[in-house]
Amino acid sequence: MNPTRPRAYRVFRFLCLVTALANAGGNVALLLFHEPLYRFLGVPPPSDRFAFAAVSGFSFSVGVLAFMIWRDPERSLNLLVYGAIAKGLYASFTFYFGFRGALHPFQIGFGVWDAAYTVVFLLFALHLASPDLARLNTGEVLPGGSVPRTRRALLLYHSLSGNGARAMQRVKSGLVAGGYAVDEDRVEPVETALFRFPFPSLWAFIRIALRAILRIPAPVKPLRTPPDHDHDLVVLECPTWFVGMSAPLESVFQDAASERIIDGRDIAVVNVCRGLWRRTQAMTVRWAELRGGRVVGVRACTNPGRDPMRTWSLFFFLAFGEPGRPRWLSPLLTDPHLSEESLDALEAFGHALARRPAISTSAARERRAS
Amino acid sequence: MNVASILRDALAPFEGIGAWLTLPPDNPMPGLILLSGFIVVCELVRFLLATELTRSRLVHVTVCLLTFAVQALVIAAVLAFAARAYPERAWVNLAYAAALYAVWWLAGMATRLARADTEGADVGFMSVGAVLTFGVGIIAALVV
Repeated sequence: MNPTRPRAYRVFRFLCLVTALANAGGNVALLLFHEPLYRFLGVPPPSDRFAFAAVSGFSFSVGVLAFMIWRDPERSLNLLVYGAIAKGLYASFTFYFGFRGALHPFQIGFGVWDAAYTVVFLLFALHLASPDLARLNTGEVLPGGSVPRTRRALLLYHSLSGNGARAMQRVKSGLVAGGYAVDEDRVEPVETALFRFPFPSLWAFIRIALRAILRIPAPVKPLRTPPDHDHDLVVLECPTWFVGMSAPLESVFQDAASERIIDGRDIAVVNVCRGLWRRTQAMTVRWAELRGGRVVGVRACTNPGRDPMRTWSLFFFLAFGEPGRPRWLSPLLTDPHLSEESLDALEAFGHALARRPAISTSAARERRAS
Repeated sequence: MNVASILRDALAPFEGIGAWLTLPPDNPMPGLILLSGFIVVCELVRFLLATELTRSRLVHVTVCLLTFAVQALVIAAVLAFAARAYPERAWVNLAYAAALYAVWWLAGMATRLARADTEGADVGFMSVGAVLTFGVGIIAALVV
């Protein structure tokens, strides 16, 4: 095993080997020696020998599957998902028939084992999914692409309540301090009567929420940035709306014309939210990549404070249109805007982006080849 | 033989599940284990899907529902169902529901073992779910 891998990776991989041996070896042993073993343990003999052999064969194949995962985990995400489903179903049936008194405790033990491995496989799949995002989220700023450095950056964002706009101003400060000239292009929805803050009505909020959940596009006004712009870096800021990208910013990407803004440029992604940022970040990064951008850095910023009060403070902020309301609750409410510490970190991010190295010639060649 | 009877026959081996979900006083464990497993899987699937299939509307709706609504509503439905079957247990069942929320929180925090860049359990939306679950549970306890 590679000692430079994270500890979690090594532990999960080891656990895959354990179940590979247990499933494959154990089922061969059971098929061959179940009669003396069951007699010794007091387990009733299988009432249906065909079903017993079929289940043993299936369980053996799951052992082979676990062995394949152990050999090459990075390419085994789908196998892990399949393994989790297989073990989850086996555990469920064992649990059901076990509680109905149809199984011996020895057989229930297999169900407990598989229930544990359902969790292990799902966690390992989670560990392996989107490794590029895991790397970006370490805070690293990757070398830029081969696009000529013009030292000009474009900030592309949509901010409803002002939280994101404030974040982008600090990224801009960092970029300017690093020697960049910065232009801004604020995404403006066509439906200005609906997408404004404070919300015109509760119904408007519900409509925005439902549209965000169902991912219904929000048409936007044409961007001011021309397709042949000379910015070498585009910084995208996207707030979380119901666990995903805000509809207006996603609409920009849903239009294939956005490729002319993004293609070939270095991209940085900033996400601003109450607390859930992973899906918004993944959506923004994947859209940027689809449109030809090279993502060099990401930052996800959450509002200060602890949940559950942070969530309820946001709800009250959205309902009243200003922080600190209702007044009688204000001592308990948290600030629905980014903290000064987060804003400082974003400024440092802007500075790091301005100083990002260019990709090496060999790496660029490798990238083109791939 | 109509579709309903075919389905009824197919599900006959699992007819005990409904009885388990009444959380019977003499043996509430099967129902609680079933719900715990369901909640753990919902939470882990939510985390797994968060970064995948990012342009799929179906996956996005699923992730939204798994953030709190599915789990909270299922526990609420079980509380109402159980209160109807065993009215004298309705208040005790609220304690079971609290234990299920603890399992939910643990499942969310366990994702941090797998990778550092996850949000962990979302106590904020869990609290919204708790309003639903315990609201229904308390009403059920009062009216039965």
